[in-house]
Amino acid sequence: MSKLRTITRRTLLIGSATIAGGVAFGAYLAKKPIPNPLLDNLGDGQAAITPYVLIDAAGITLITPRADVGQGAYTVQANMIAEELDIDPATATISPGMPGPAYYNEALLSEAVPYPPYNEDALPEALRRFMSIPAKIIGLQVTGGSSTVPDSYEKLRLAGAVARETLKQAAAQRLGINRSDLTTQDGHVITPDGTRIAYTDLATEAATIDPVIDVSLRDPGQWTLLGKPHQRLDIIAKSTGTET
Amino acid sequence: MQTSFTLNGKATQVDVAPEMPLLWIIRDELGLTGTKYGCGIAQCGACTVHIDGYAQRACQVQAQDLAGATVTTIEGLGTLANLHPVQEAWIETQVAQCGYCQSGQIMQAASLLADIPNPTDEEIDDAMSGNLCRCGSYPRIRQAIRAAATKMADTQ
Ligand code: FES
Ligand code: FES
Repeated sequence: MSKLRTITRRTLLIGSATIAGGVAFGAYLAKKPIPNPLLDNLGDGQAAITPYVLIDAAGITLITPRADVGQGAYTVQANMIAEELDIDPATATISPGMPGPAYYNEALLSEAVPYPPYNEDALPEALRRFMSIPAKIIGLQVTGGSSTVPDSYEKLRLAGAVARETLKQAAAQRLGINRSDLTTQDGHVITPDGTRIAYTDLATEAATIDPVIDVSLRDPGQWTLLGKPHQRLDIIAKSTGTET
Repeated sequence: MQTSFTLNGKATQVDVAPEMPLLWIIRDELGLTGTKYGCGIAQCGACTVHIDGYAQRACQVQAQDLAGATVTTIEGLGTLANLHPVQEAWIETQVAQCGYCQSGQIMQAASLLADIPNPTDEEIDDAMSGNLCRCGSYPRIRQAIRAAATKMADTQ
């Protein structure tokens, strides 16, 4: 179970922001006392959001920042977000997004230590964890070294979970009931009497409230998408000449 | 020069240099980007289209040879709503990796099956050997061609 504490230690905060006609969920890079050249153009107390989930009236977009050249990276990233967000990833738009410092790859350099990958002793493991710091400082947004899943595994599921709980909170406020009385399914918040409210219908309200960030990630036993075989989301486009 | 041909069932006219390759006409003049540019010198097969029903390298056919031809590109072979059996088999087999070569592979395979409905492994290899796949999807290409052959036999 991953709680917010783990995340703040990594200075990765999943938050929300208003976009035209909707809401974005993503990673905040807050200005820290330690100088970070990447954040020089941020004022004190300001934060830049780098989105993983965009929702407006037209639909849901999942941002999958690691590139896909046929290894299935877009599909696995979309599934990691969708697993917590409770949507069918085939119904969402998948976009690699814009380059951004919060998409830095913290797993990439973890094998850039003088130990073979199978050496899992305490020292190599500690060094591997340490390597996420230079990766962050130089803001390496790189796809490679089989790092997409290790790097995204927590971030993307967290983005999905924060988005899901915030959408539930928006519905709870609209209906004057508790968030804990609501569930989610297939892109909808489900009320106790079974009414379904589409996420797209809650987007503008979700943008105006504080995001729910004290979320826990689901146990693998509850997964419906991850760990199962899937048709790659881009396979139809690649078989009809419409992949862009 | 002006030249007229049929592209994906539509009468089409372009005004281009006589030696402009069909691949340029399709992609740059007409904006159909499903057909890919790989080598430009008939070495890779990425640009394969059908001309009068047969697989041809679009990078090798010039505007001046095009008058009256019937050209089909991947966009004209089948669409999401109405897939060609070869495309169905390609999707079910999840052939594509990066996908760059696949429009050419599919056009070549469709031409092969139109010609030889139930090809042997050797005939498949012969027909497909000019279509390179840098991702190495060859085993699935062969598998998908067999699946497509079965599909096409079933619907006849
Ligand atoms: S681009 Fe025509 S064969 Fe390579
Ligand atoms: S799928 Fe990548 S070149 Fe064939």
